[in-house]
Amino acid sequence: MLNYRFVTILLLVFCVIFPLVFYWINMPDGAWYRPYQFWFLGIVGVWLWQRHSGFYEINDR
Amino acid sequence: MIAEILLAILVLLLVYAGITQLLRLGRPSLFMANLSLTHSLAMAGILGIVPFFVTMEMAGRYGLSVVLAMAAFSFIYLLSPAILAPVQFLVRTYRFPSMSDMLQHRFRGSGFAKLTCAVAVLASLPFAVAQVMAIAAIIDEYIFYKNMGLHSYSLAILLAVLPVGGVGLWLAWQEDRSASTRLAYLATIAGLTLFAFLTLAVTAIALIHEVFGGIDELLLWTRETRQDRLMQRYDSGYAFVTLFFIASMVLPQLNSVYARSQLDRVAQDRSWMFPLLLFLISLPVLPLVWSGLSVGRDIPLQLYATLLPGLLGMPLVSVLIISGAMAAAACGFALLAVALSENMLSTFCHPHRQNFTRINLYRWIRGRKRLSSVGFLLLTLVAALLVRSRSLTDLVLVSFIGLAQLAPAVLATFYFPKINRKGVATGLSVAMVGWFCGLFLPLFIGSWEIAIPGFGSIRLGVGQWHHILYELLFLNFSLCLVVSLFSETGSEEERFAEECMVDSVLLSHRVEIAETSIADIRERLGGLLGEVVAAEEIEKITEESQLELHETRPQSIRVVREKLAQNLTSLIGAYAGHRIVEEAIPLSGGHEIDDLVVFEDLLPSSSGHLTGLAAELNRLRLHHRTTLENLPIGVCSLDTEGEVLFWNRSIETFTGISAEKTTGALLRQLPEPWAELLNDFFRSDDTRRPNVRVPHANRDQWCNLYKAVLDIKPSQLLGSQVLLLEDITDALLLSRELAHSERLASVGRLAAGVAHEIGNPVTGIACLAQDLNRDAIDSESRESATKILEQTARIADIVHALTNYSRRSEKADDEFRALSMEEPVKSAIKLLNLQHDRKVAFTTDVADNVMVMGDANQLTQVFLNLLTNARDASPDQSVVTVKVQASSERVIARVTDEGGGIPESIRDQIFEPFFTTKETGEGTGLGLSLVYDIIRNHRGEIKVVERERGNCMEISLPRVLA
Repeated sequence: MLNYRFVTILLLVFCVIFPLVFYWINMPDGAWYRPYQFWFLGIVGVWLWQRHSGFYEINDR
Repeated sequence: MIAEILLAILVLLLVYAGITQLLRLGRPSLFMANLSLTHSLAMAGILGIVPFFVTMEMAGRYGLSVVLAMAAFSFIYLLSPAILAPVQFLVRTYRFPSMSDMLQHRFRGSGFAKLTCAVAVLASLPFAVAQVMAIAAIIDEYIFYKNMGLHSYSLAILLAVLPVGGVGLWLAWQEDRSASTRLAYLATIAGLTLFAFLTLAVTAIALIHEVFGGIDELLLWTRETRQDRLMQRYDSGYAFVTLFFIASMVLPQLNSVYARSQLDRVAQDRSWMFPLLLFLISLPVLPLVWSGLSVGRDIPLQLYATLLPGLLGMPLVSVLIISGAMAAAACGFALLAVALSENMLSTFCHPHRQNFTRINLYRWIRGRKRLSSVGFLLLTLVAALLVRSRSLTDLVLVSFIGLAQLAPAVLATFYFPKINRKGVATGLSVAMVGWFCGLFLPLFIGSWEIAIPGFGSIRLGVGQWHHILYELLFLNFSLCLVVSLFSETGSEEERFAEECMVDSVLLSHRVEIAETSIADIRERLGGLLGEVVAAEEIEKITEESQLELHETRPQSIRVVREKLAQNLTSLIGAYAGHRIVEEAIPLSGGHEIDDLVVFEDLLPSSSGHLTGLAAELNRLRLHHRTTLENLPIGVCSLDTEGEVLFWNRSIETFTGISAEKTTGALLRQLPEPWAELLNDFFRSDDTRRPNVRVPHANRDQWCNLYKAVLDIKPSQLLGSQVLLLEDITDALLLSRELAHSERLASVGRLAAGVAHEIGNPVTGIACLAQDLNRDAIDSESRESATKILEQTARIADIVHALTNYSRRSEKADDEFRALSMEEPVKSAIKLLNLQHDRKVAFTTDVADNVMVMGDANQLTQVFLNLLTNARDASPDQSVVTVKVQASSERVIARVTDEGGGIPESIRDQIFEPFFTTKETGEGTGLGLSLVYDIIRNHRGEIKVVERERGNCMEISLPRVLA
């Protein structure tokens, strides 16, 4: 069985998120530190997500 | 210059000694408290020299793509709650020590494991070479070029092997089998990585201040020189993102560290902590490059961070950054050496073929790992001496592209069950040939061209890395897919493919195991692994699972089997581990089914995560489960071998055996008499057995047994029979009591008839005897008449007792009145005191306001009979006590004497009519029977209370409030 979640995430990341990010950080008036901004926002987002999701608890055997 | 390098080595050794000393002095709690940080730092240590050298060169070559590459390397961990959590669960469940073991488990085949292991070793080689060459480049620049004006890379490489390989190997050798040393190893790596990162940060700050005077000046300079715009190049940006993203999934050393972190908390924290660490160590990259560009010295870009401080006259910073780079290189090499030695151990060393009764398994593993790591160091040294490319970036890129070819296999393991071994092996082999010719070989011989007829010539070399990356990945994935689609997959491979899916439930298999005990397993394991290792491994499992050595329950043996397989897998790999387990604990049955019982035990902890139909089904399951648990009839579910799967509360109460002790045990392993009783019924063809007597030390029990045979296909079979056990003890005793009462009633009717029939002739005989006594002349006749009168008087007494017994009436409740218990007690004692033939004292202790509903005459009769019996049994000058107490609902009266007591053997008979222990003529045997009837008529109970001396009759009656 194909794992749709994984495929969806990969498609979303490679076909939507990365092109948009590349476009954003390549804009002529864009600052050189934009890749860092994107990266840092991702870290903060995941930090907030994992604090509240408790996703890993499902594997507490 | 030489002094700086020597000092850097000294600082590195001091830092290493400091960390190990900190661990030795009992401070591992420092690392334990920050376990997530320790693991994240150890993982960041995998990058080795990349943040010190490669990122500088990449920034110069490809601009800001370096940031994207580093971000991509951490991206998989940002997505880890969605993608890596199930993967971690699989790795943790099976404890795969290496990626080869995981792939072998999924794709089944030692040949395939050898292929993936060979790929991992070969593709990792340029990365290992980069660790040595980075330090060699500093040595060459500082010692040979600056002092002698010439380059001597070969000599520099030989010198660089000492700090990198030496410290790396030393670190790798610290890695051992026990959890504490594994943690110490990771903690040391984490400590050295932290030190290395700090030196990089200090260097960046020092250089910014030395070269520019501050951050503001730096930013001003970048704007003025338009360096900020120049850096805004994203050349090969997408290729970097792809390559580093894939590399983060397949690096063998990442898998190795990953396998060592079993805690969810660590995985959860790591999802943001590891990306944050990479983010932080990427921050100094651009300032360091800009500092180098601003200074304008003629040194390679990759050496900016390590050489600039020395060139700008900052010896302290120079020593620090060189020692930091050496620490990073040593960590990078150590992690790689450990990961590859684990790969090679299970793939090439064949632990299952060794005889461990003569050699110690742990020592053998340690020896083989050390040998593998030394071999890998020598291979690295030879490759470093032969390699022509001096670019560390090239080496890292080639290594990552080679490892990226394992991506289809890794992705298929977790996400694509239809991809089979043939497909993966074909794609991987072809791609690796392409990688070897297109990237690996040019590292040694330089770029070269290959002419393809009709296609022209193709240039091969690291310069074309991004084209080759995409082409090889496309070729690899395509071949993998096509060959998998057009080739057959074995049933075993299919089963394991489904099992490894991220959405697989990963059920334990319910295997049939020959009856054995844990002690037997230890003995058999001793024959395979040696006594010491077997004892240690079994002790670990029994402690963890809280099992005893004499345990024989199949469920417990299955637990031991599963844990042993996991532990041996983490030690010697999946293949060898399972081979040894199969020999130590052989299976007896042919088929394996999913262990739904184990799964159901796990459900409560994860039920909060079920949604939709699954949640509704779980609610339905809970409803059925609760119904079965609370049924007032005993329910016991069994598998084909008679192993108890379910044992509800009623059967727990009836048998007195808890579900915890029975679940997972065979019926014949239950305590007697249940083992024989239930096992016999389970094996028989009977579907019901009524009125089964269960012998018991205190009181026998009776039950009805029923059986339902479940008609399920063997492949789906979980339970084969359900036994129902109905407790009929109370009902049976009640019916016996009823029969007893009816018999007593018959006796009463008989007694009435006998009394009537005997009474009249006896009265006549008595009258005639009186006449004879009065009219007789001789004394002999009068004496005879007197004796006749005495005997008729005795007959009259018996007839009177019989009449009393037969006429005892069962008064209705409304005929009773509330009376104090003091009243019948005192009346009885008063009557008895009229007789002065026995010297026995009566004492009473009656609580105030103790009222019962009853008939005063009947209760007086009760106490009269009990006190008479007590008096007759008591020796002279003794005391008979009547004590009446009350609780909120009952009134308890105890008549206690100091006689010989009632033997236990006759206690059940004393309430039977005509039962007496008195001499013939002394008693009729109807007294206690009458007492019993009266008390039962008053809704009370009477029993004999056990005493050390004398006897105590206890009456319990319902209490009424005054």
